[in-house]
Amino acid sequence: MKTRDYEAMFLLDNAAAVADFDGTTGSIDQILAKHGATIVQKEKWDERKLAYEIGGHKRATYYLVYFRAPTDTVARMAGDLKLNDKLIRHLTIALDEPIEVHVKKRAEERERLAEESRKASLAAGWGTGDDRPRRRREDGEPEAFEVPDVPELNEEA
Amino acid sequence: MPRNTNPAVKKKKKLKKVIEKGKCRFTKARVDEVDYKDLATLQKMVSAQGKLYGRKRTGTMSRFQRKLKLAVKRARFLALLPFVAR
Repeated sequence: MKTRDYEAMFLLDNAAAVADFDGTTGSIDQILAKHGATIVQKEKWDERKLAYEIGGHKRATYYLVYFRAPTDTVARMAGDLKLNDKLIRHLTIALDEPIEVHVKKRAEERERLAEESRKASLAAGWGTGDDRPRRRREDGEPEAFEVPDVPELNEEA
Repeated sequence: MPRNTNPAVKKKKKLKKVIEKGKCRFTKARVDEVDYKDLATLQKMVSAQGKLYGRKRTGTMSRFQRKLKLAVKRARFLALLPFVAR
């Protein structure tokens, strides 16, 4: 059967993806492989707040996969993906250009974003401007800035 | 040759400049496709309500407006953009 190149984006349940990313994505990869897909590249695209609530989920982990598969795979795997309770939603797109072009574009994009976020954090002096939870400080690690001593106003009264 | 000081001609020239400035951003960027993952671009093409701006406002070429429409719809489905903003 004729094969085509595809790009798929999966919205994963955030709790499951944060706790065990490899396990959660592994179950998706298995379904793809079961229906004859060859995964070319997979990556965690982002972890973000959803623009609207989907089935009680407010945040999700976005998992991006580029794969090559026979043309009947996408329809067949849809049933199995529906049964996966870690998966909130997914979108598969048939690519017109060869998969390598997209993978290369994506790598360039990632580099550009990394550079931008580095510059932005340098310009702002701290943080990266996103709303994700900050890394917990190691034991004994100093505060990022000194907290000034503010005298109590009520003391004199 | 003396410079044309006719205000009507000047105005016309200025108008032409403005139109050139507002040319299609996708043509300028020399892209083939509009990516649904490129939220920085998509967010500039929708209103605060989340509605897609028309071609007249953004100066997008008709070919790219159709691709843009598809990209926005894909982004909405994946909850990257709202269907209706609150």
